[in-house]
Formats: sequence, structure tokens, C-alpha cells
Amino acid sequence: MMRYLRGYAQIMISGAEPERCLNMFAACDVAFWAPEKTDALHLRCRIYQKDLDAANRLASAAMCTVETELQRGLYSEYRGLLRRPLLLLGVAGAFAVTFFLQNFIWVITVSGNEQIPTEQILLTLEQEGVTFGAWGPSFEQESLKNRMLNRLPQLRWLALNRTGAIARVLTSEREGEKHTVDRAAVSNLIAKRPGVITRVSVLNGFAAVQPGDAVITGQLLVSGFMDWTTHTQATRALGEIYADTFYDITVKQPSCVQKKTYTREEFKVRTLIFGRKRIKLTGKSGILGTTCDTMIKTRSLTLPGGYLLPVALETVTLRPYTLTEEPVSQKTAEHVLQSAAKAAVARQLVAGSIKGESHTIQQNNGALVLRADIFCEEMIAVSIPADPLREEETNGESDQR
Amino acid sequence: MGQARRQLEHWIRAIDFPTEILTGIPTVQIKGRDETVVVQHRGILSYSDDAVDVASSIGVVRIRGAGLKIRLMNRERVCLCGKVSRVELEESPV
Repeated sequence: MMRYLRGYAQIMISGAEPERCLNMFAACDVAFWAPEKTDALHLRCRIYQKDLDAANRLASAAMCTVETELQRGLYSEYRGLLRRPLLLLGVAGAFAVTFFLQNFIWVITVSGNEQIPTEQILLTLEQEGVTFGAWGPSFEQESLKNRMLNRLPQLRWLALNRTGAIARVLTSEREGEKHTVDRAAVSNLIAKRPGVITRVSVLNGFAAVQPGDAVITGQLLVSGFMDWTTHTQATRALGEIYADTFYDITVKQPSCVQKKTYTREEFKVRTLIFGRKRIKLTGKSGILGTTCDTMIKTRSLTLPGGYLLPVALETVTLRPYTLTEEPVSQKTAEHVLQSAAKAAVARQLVAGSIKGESHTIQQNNGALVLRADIFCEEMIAVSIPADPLREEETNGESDQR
Repeated sequence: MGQARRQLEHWIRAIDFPTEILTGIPTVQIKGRDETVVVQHRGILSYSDDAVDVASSIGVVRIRGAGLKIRLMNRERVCLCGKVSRVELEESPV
């Protein structure tokens, strides 16, 4: 192996006394091995490539000739690669990536989190030293887990598994307090807003209203106490009570809007992002003022398997514009305000629909004001706990009447 | 010259010093039947598969055998491997 690395040559010594050549080699410290006398005038042996010139001189002195039969060695066989530097660079890079660079963390994936944002976990990991380019074997899993759980109390459990250059963070979050409904509790249904009853559907309890009745906010709709003559049953009132309700909504918007007029100019700024470092490639980034539309497009380097590397090319496109004030047409404003009013009412409906609306629009102090009356049919029943003692007193008074 | 050598050897033995180092007397070491080492040689006179003649200060060391090959050779020693059947010393007048 060492001889191959150093490079050797097989030579044929020809002469009347080839042994004299060997004697001269030995006397002048020219190492040789595997001598083989083929006949009386020829002797084959091997020497190091670096000794070829000396061997030729010594052979001449011994009145012999030296003929090189073959040359072998790392340099002689692979020196052609020196003409291909990129190939050598690629091989060196492959070795580096395989045996050295994979000990650094290049990709961090987080899974198992639902409430806590991934960015928050990554930021906390960065504060603990787990970041892009960190030395992987330096992390002690158990102490890192304990530190992370102290920093993020919403987490119940955390584990960091490293596979080569990929660090996988597995998390489990604490469960929040669960709101449970006590199905055995006694409750009534009352009206959450005033209206005229249109539909009554009682699943459990005693209906205190019927279609056509006008009710006010807080009025009893379904009682959880049912009178069975011989006894009173206290239960949880269940049902759906629909009523016609009325909403008075006021919505306003400015009567003039600022409209963008683009200057037809466009600037592009390209930046190479490597981890947290940003290297500006092209473009002028010092554009002052805020009257620009900014469109940011980022293309990240992705490994097979979908692993995102923190290497990205960011292209920011800037389109300057000027602002001009334009009055809003009343028709357009009316349509926008009407839609906004209906949307506001729809958000308040638990169940039901908007049946009709009427509105007025007027201009007041530079603003367009829309006042809308919206009629809905909605489910107005809401459940509240009932006090049995209070109900008994109320029933007693009504019996006495 | 021979008398001077003998006198030198006598003095060296008297002080218990290895004689071969100062006088250049060759040493032949035979290890089993497969290896023979000649120390303090003066070159190979002939070399073949069954006979190797090594020159020394006191004569020619003739080594006979089969499959003889030079495993190592430098200024001071020649190491031969192969089946050695006979080692002879042909003295030359000194």
C-alpha cells in the first residue's frame, strides 16, 4: 500500500553482470525489491519512481541498461484528475457533506403543535442554541427538553431527534380547560332580545310563550319546571324559539377616497437570504417614502423530500404610485354600506335569516352615513341556570292568586 | 595486513567488544531453513534461483538452495528468503 502511494516502477536490468547493478543500488541507498533473474543477462526488479534517474545513472556505471517496464502509483495513475479541478472539488465536497457537514444542523422541522406557532418554537430553540448551522452532537437532549418546557409552559412534552443534518422537534401541548355542560342542572330559556314569536319548538320543559306573543329581553320562554299536578319536575329546558326581531344599524364611510395612480415605474430588488444573513444582489433598496406597492416573492431551496433549506432568493418588486382624492359615488357607497350593515347583523344571528331591510343615506361632515333598519327571523332563546327555591316561591304566589 | 587484523581482533576480544563491528567481519545468520541474513557484505557476485554468492571481507559466502530471492539488500546486509540447503564459506587470502 505504501509503495503504491509513493509510486514504483518495474525495471529490467540488462547487462553482463546485472548483480553489480544491484550492488550499486544497495551502496547508494536505492531501495529495490522483488528481484527476479530471468536469465544470465537480465534481471527484473522494482524501485520507487523517485529513484528512476538514480537507477539509470548507477546502471550506466555498472555497464548495464535499465528499461522501465511499467510504472504504477497514486500520482501516476490519477494525475489526469488534476486537469479536472471541478471534479476534484465535487468529490471533496461530497466527502465533506457525507462525513463532516452532516454533523451540522441545516434543517429544523417542528411537528405536533397546534396552538403554539411554529415560529415561536423556532425562536425559542434559537435562544437555546438550536439554530441553522449549529453543531448537532453538542446538544444534550434531556436538558434541552427541560429548558424548552420552562420557556414554553404551554408545552407538555418536547423531544429533539437529529437525523444527520435534520433536527426534528416533536411537541405535545397541554390541553386547555374543557368547558363542560352540566346536563343535570336545572335551567330556563329566556329571550336574548325583543321580538314577536313566530315558531316554538320545545324539546324539554314548559313553554311559556306561543307564536304571536311579543317578548322583551330576558323574558321567560321555556321553563325548566313542569307542573304535573301531583309534583313539579325540575329539568333542563331545551328548545328553539324563533321570533321576528329588529336591528337598527348605523354605518359610515368617508365621502372621498384616495386613489392610487401608478407612475408606470417598477423597481426590482433581489436579495440572497442565507439563514439570517441577507446579501443584496441587484437593485436599489434605498427607495424613500411609503407610496409604493411592494410585492415580495421568495423562492427557497428545497431538498428532495420537501425539506426547506434556509437559502432563498427574495425578489421585491416596487411600483410607486401617487395618491389623488376622488369623491365616492353615492350609489357605490350605498351598496358598500348596505352590505356592511347586513354582514354586521348576520354575525349576531345564532340561527335565522334576514328577511328585509330599509335604509337612508346622507352626507354628514365629509362622511356618508347609512342608517338601516333590518328585520330578521332568528332564534332568540338562550339558556340560564334556574334557582329552584326562587321558582317555588314564584309558584306559591301564583297559586295563592 | 592479515597479521594486523589478527592483532586487532585480539585486542578487541580482550576488552569484550563485538569484533565484527570494528573489523568488518561478516556474519551469517540462518533462521530455520527459510531465511538467511548476511551482515557486513561486499556485494552480490552472482544471483540465481538456486545459488547466491555474496562477497565478504574474508571470502565468498555461497548459499545454495531452491527458490532463493533477495528480500532486502542495503549497504550492510543482504536478506535472502527461500529454502536454504547449504551455506559455504570460500576463504580468500587476506
